[in-house]
Amino acid sequence: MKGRIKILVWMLGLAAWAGTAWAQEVVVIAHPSVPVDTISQAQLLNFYTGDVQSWDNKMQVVVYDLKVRTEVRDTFYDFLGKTSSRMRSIWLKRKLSGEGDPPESFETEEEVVAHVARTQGALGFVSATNVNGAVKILTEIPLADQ
Amino acid sequence: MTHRLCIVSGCLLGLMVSPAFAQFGDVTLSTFGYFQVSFQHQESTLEEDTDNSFNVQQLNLFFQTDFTPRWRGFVNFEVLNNFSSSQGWGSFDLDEAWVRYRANQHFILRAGLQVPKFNRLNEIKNRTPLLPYVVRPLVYEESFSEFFNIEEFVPERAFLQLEGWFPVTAVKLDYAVYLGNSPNVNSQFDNTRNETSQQTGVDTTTTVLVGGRVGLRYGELELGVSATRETTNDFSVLAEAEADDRPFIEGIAPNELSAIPKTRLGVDLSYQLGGFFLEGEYIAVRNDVDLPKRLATRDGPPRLGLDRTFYYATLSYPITERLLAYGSYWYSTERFLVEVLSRSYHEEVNVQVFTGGVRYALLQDADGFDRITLKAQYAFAEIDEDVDVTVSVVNLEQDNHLHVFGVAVSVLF
Repeated sequence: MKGRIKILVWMLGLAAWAGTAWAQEVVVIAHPSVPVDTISQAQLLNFYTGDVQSWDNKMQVVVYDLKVRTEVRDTFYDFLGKTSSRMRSIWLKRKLSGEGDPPESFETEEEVVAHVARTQGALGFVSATNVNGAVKILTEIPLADQ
Repeated sequence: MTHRLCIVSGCLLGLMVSPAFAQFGDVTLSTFGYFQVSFQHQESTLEEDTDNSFNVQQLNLFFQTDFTPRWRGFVNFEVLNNFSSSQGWGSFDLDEAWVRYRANQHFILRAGLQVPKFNRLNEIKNRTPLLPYVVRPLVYEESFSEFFNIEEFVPERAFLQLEGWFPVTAVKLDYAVYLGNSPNVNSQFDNTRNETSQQTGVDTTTTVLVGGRVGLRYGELELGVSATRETTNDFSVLAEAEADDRPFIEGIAPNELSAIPKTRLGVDLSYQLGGFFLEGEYIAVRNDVDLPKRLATRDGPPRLGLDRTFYYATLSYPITERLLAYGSYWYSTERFLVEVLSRSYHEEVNVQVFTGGVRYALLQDADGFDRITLKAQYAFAEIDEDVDVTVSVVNLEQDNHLHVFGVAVSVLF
């Protein structure tokens, strides 16, 4: 009996640790129509700076951002290798030159997930705990302090 | 007439930005823009005086529409220097009006009036929200265009541009090629008024401008080389001008100098390391004047030249997320040389500027874009002018030192 309780406690602890580790990841999500199942840092940077605006199958890329500066957003920008202010500078230059528009940004991760789920060719980034079955995960980024 | 034209233009602009014109069919018009207002205090050692002036340096109004994800239309109106049609101040210009087709990142075609890619700053020189300066590096300061001919240094207009980039491992190779007009097309010199009248963009039969830029991007390093080739009628205009009651350039008909080949060469560099951002450019302008031997002087072969050189370097650092500090150095030189028959004229003007300043984002929007920015800048300029006119036995050398302090507010709307 005691052995079974020990096993049960151990399994519960393991599940709790796994859940916590999963929640500490940032994931890049995409609409199911996106023609890839993984994405590299270089590709993400091309999409988020506007250098590339369509997928290989000619479908337009739509990228979404978060308005609020959070650990999730900082982790994503660190992964891209750019600071938040550098990204703003890149997007403002594109906007004022007529080359492109900044990504639409939202207050909450739930809004990002909802827009990615209903927009063909869309990409976004959220914490792993906010993902639902309506989007697919292309890559996982550990939080910066891990 | 000019006053009525401006009233009509203003009304049309007002109608265009009204909600009634925000959407036509299923196409939506986007309007945005910015302006910069400055106060500048200037002290000159040569003239021993002080100037203080408020100035709406620049206002740009953009209209943009996406017909499809690949097709975009874009219009840019620019207003400079306290524009007032009633007072005759400043200017109001159509800066850009183009349509763009983007097949992919390798092939982007723009047709219409546009600012071509030349070095790094040319395309964005009038985008004041992007730049920390109150006064920009000389050849890019639009508000100086009334007395410093920017278009002689950098190409300001093209009408067809093809651009794109290609990946080569981790490097991105950029390219751009374009066609446009040479500046000062169809200029005519009026001897009775002693001034030049100009019409640009009317006839490109003999004054087509071709140019381009190739560059590479690797991480935070950007390098580029730019060049343009065109013909200029600057020397035929000079040939028609008079000095000492005779043509300035004698012995040759002005129309023989109406299409002198002119070449611009540019090099640009920018690099971000840590928080520091370094950018710099070099521009050289040369004219290929080939004069007949019959115009030789007593001392040697005939010479006619108008060469220009400019370079600058700026180092900036963000002290906080909102506060940026920078230091910059600019140098320009213009050499004008006439040695034809009995005329000998040498003029050289060198300008050296040491400058530095700060930029503070006073108000940011919810997306983090700087909507209202404060700028302050100090510049020390040394202007060295040498004029040697052998025939008139005139030798003028004058140095002028300028201390300029400026503050500005830049607003993005």
